[in-house]
Formats: sequence, structure tokens, C-alpha cells
Amino acid sequence: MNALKFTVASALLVVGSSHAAGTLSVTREVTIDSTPATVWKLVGNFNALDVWHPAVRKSELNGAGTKVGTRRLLTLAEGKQVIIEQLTAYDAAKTSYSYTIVNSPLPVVNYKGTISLNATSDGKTLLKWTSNFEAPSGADDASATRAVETLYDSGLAKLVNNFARQ
Amino acid sequence: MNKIVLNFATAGLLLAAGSCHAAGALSFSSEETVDSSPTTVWKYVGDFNGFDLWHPQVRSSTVKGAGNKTGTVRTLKLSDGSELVEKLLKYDAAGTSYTYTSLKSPFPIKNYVATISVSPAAEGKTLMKWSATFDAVNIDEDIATEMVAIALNGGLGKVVANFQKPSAPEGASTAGSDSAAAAARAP
Repeated sequence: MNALKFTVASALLVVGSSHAAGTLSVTREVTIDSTPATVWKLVGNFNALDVWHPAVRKSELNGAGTKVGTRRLLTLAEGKQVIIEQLTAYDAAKTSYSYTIVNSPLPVVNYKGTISLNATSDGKTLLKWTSNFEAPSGADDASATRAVETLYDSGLAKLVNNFARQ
Repeated sequence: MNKIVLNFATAGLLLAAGSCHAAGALSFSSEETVDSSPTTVWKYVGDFNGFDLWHPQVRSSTVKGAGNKTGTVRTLKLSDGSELVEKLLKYDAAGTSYTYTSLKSPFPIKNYVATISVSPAAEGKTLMKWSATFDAVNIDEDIATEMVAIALNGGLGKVVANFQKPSAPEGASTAGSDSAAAAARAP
């Protein structure tokens, strides 16, 4: 599957075109030892990445909390780099939201991400974080993918730990 | 700390006189510096129904009615299955503080009133304070105080740990295409 996608991307690059949106993708799933209702209080807050993601120092909102179009300005841990993201869908009933990256130091373009929570049979939460994106011209696919994977893994590790029973 | 000793003395005198003591004769207070801004820390601890996010002993929190209104009642289920019911007495979003009282508790404590507050500290950090007054029920007062201290310090400890910056990984680079990976790692 990935090989096929890479091939398509390469072909587009060869003809000098920008490649189609969502050529690359990353998906991570983790089980969290708490209910979706509880986890959503933290994850479902579009303005709380500064609470649960170790790379985010500050999150500020431009717009109303969970309205499509609302943007968040994330200041990263170093205090200099920022990411601007925009909410594109928010579904409290399904405990899921989607967003795009408007501006960031990450080597990705056309990024669309979704975070969703689902109940497991034993009352825990299955969190799925998935995205489609491309590498910008001049950056390779592997670097782009690795950047997103690193971002997801560090955030999810902290989230899992937050709800781990002592 | 001295305050606790004084309160013990007062309670002792009242007991000696055979009187029942005034509500909230005992007290415990603790505070910690948290390495993030009050705005960010308040997102974690400022929701009356968010105790299940940041207190290590609380597995779930549910409320009836609107979240942070005076009179709102929350039911907390603890890890051991026991339940606490608490009522919001005062909520001050601007002052980032709230006060609540216990309606039902598995602990041998009554007249429990507590306040959680966050305020700015040096270097853009946060001072989080949690204080409580209460009475012991058929148990030594120092034991009751110890139980409260464990609960409060347990919560404060997790908040501190959540915002603690891990030490920088060796060879961390912010140059070139590695900048994203470096940003994703903790500093």
C-alpha cells in the first residue's frame, strides 16, 4: 500500500507537478486506561495540547472553542517555533475532531489530521490519531513521515501515562 | 505547618472541655510550583468536572448540570471503587480558583471545605495551592490530617510531574529537516 503511494508521488514529482493531497500517511492507535468520556475532557479540548503534549508549551485559541474554522496557535517547547492549526470538523458525540496545519516548522504540507476516541470492550479507550500529508519540495518523504510519527508518539506516550493506574 | 500544630492544640482544648469543636478545626495546606503558565495549568485543573484528568486516585468524575456553577455537584469514583460527592461553593475563573465542600466521602472526615488555586510565580511559572479545613470523625486528628495530606499532595504531585520538562536528549538538533523531530521531542 505504502509502496504504491510512494510510486504515485514519485511519478508526479517527475512531471514537475506538486503531488496530490495526502500522499503520505501516519496512523497511531493506543489504548488508554480510562473511559472515552474522561479522556475526551482532555483530548477533546482543541485548546489543551499544552496540557498533554510534551512538545507544546502554550496553546492559544483564535475563535470559539470547538467551531469549525477555529485556529490554535501552538508555541513549541523551545518557545520560538509555532504551529498554527485549524479545526475542520468537530463531533463531540463521536468524540472525534479533524484539523489542518496552516503553518508549521514541520517538513509537511497539505496536512490533514484526525483524532478520535472509541470505547474498548473492557471500558478503556482506543485513541486513533491519523493523518495524510505530503513532503514539501526539497524534503524527502521519509523525513516528513518521521516528523509526524515522532510528534504522535511523544504525545501519545504522555497521554497514556496520564491515565495509567498507579 | 505551624498552622496545623496550632489547630491541633485548639482541637485538643475543645476536646478536653468536653465540647464538640467548631467546624473545620483541622487544616492542611500544600503548594507547589508548576513549570507552565497559570493559563495552561488552569486548563488541566480548573474544570470542576476534570478531577479524573489530574488526580491519580480519581477514575471518573461526573456532574449534573452546568460545569462550573456554584451548587454544581460532582461524583468522583476512586480507584478502589469508593465514591465521593462534592459541591462547588465558589468558582472564580478570573482569579483561577474554586472552593468546594464534601457531601459524601469514604474517609472519616466531615465539614471538609477545600480551595484549589493557581497564580503566577516567577519565570512565568505557576504556584498551585490546595488547602482544606475539616474535622476528624472517630479517628485521631493526626491520622485524619495525614489522609487529607496524602490526597492533596498526590494531586499536586501529578500536576507538577505533568508539566515537568524532561531533560534534553543527547545530540538534539534543531537544524534543517530534523527541526520537526527535535520540536516533537521534549527540550
